[in-house]
Amino acid sequence: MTKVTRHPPGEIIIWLFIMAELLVFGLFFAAYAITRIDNIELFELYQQNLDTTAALYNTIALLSSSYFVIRSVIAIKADEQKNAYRWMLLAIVMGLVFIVIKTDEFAHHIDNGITLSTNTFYMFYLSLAFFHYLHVILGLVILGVLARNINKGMYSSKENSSVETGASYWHMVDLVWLILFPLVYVM
Amino acid sequence: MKIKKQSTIVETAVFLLLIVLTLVTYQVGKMGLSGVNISLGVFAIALFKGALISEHFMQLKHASGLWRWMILIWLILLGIVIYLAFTA
Amino acid sequence: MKHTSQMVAKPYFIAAIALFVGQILFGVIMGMQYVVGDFLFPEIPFNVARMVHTNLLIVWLLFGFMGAAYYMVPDEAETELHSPLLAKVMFWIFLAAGVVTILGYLLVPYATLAEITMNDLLPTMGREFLEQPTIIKIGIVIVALAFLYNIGMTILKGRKTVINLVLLIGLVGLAVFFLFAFYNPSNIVLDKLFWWFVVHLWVEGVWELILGSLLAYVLIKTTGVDREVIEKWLYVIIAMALITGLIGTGHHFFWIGTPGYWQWWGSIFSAMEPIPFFMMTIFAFNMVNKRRRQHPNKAAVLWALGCSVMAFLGAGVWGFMHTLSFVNYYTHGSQITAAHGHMAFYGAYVMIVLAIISYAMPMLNGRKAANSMKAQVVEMWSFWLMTISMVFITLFLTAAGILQVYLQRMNGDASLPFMVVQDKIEIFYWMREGAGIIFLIGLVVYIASFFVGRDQPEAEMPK
Repeated sequence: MTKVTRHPPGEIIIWLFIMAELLVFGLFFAAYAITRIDNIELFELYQQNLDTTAALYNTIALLSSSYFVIRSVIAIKADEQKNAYRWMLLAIVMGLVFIVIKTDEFAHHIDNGITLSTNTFYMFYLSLAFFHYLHVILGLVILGVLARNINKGMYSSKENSSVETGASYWHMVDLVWLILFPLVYVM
Repeated sequence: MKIKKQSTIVETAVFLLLIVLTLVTYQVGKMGLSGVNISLGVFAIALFKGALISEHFMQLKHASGLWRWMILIWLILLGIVIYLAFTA
Repeated sequence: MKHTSQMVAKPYFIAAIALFVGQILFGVIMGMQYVVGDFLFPEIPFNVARMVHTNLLIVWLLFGFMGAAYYMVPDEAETELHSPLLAKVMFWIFLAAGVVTILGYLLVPYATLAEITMNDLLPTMGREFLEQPTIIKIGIVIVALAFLYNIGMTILKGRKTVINLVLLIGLVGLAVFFLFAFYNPSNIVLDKLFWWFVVHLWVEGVWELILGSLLAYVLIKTTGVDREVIEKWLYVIIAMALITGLIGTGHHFFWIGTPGYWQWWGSIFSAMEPIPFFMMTIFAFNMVNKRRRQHPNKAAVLWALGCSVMAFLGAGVWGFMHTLSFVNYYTHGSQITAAHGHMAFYGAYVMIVLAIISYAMPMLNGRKAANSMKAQVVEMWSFWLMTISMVFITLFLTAAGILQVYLQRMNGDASLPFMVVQDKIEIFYWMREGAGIIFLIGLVVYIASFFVGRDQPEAEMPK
């Protein structure tokens, strides 16, 4: 039976970081929604220009990636270093899928001459999406370091706090996208 | 002694549920359904997905006190703001 | 004091205080000129007094940071300073450059100063806070490089603590961002944009790293709390400072002709800039609460705690009040700005330098840990005089600013012209000047604290 622990998984410092990030994104989401009140036609019109299918694939990619990270954490806690490494690699692959699809989306916008100054909707969409994109990249770097370290045998059932720390950050990146996708692409 | 491995059933089930909910959201978007109630319904699903992430993926169900609630509170606050903004 | 090379900090601290006095004298002069417009005109016109006031502030704080580094780094690195001689030479060069610059402002018309210093070879003069002749700016860079070299080499050969590394990063950042003072685009929008790369990224960026590391150092020394605990706090604080402050630079890009998205980015990120200051307040009080011992230097602890509170109020709260673009639209460049600027600079940077001087000076003067109780009491009096009077300066300017913004910018067709409004808020300027005089008295008391009780035994830890 799993016990009730006081602290969330990983180093506390990452949770302070996570809360700070959620604060930034939260404020941005709120600003988006509030600005939309006076710009409903504009927002709904340009929202239709967004590639919802690409966003679907991206959501599935990030959800899968988070799931694979969890499998990796469970594996390392059972001293299954090889499995942990494979799951982590899978997680990274799914993260890269997100990056590829999103980069293509951005390239598409740039080709169409869309910038932060095109209109208010695009300002929000590009800001939110790009800011999140940067966090995905940072997350992938973290996962990459973890994968390498797992492969080097640095973690075990006793020593895995770093893996949980990185995993927590990655789940936050996933969480933010889960809000961004419906709010900006669908609603 | 081999360490008893944590069961992965719950996390896998949550993952599949998240995928299903995502497809539902996508379908709503694809079908072009509009209206405040639809939008809020979609967002409610998103908040629920967020809670699944925080409780099961981030493992906060095992944490105690404010740590467990911090992300849930964030989701609730966001929900309130979005609700007010979309019904204004 | 474990390393004799720490002694080089002493002249830096003395120069810092001397220049601080000069700064306040000119502040009081300007406060008078606000209400008696031709006070000391034409000998010291307002714009010259202003240059002297602001430039002295920056230079004395830099002397303070350098002295702090020369004191702290050998101690933290557990090794002597790489070159005390270099530190002493640079001291005199920096001091001479500073004095010459101030004299240049006072004695020579600015245009002439530009001519005789050959400004048109590489024009960098004429911008607020960066009025120094180009050759002086080059001199500052040389002094900074020598300083960083000295400190860097010391850290390299010794123990690399988190405090040292954060301090070094902050100081390197300070030097790097100062280089933007040499970049003077002819496009006015870009000119203003890059000007903020010096000013904002200093005081709302790398200077906060310096502040954090100095505060952490004083707290470790006076509370005895575990280094690891303090270091973790320091990491989180500077992470928050950088996360919020870097893109938060955008709150200076609202009205200068940059694209509109800066109003969003600047507002959202800068709204969170109070967070690291709030954390510093919690940090300071928490560490003092958890302290393992009662340090005999009560004055230093008072400065450290006071700094965290005043920095949060002045930089955090007052900053937040006018950081959102739709508020700033009305308050930009008003007395609200001045109110924030004074309390923020005093709370964050003046007080931390005074805190480190308070901690270090007794030992630089041969004491074991603290001054006599008599000297400390006088010093603590100066703390309250300066801090309370600064609060009142800020409150008076805030009141003036609110009235100014309302009458001049928010009254529709009934909005009044600038000078008419200045007349109407004159009472607040008189009161501000009164508070400013008390601040000056506080500063005099502060200096007195270095000279009283010198023969008396130092305060001891209670048994």
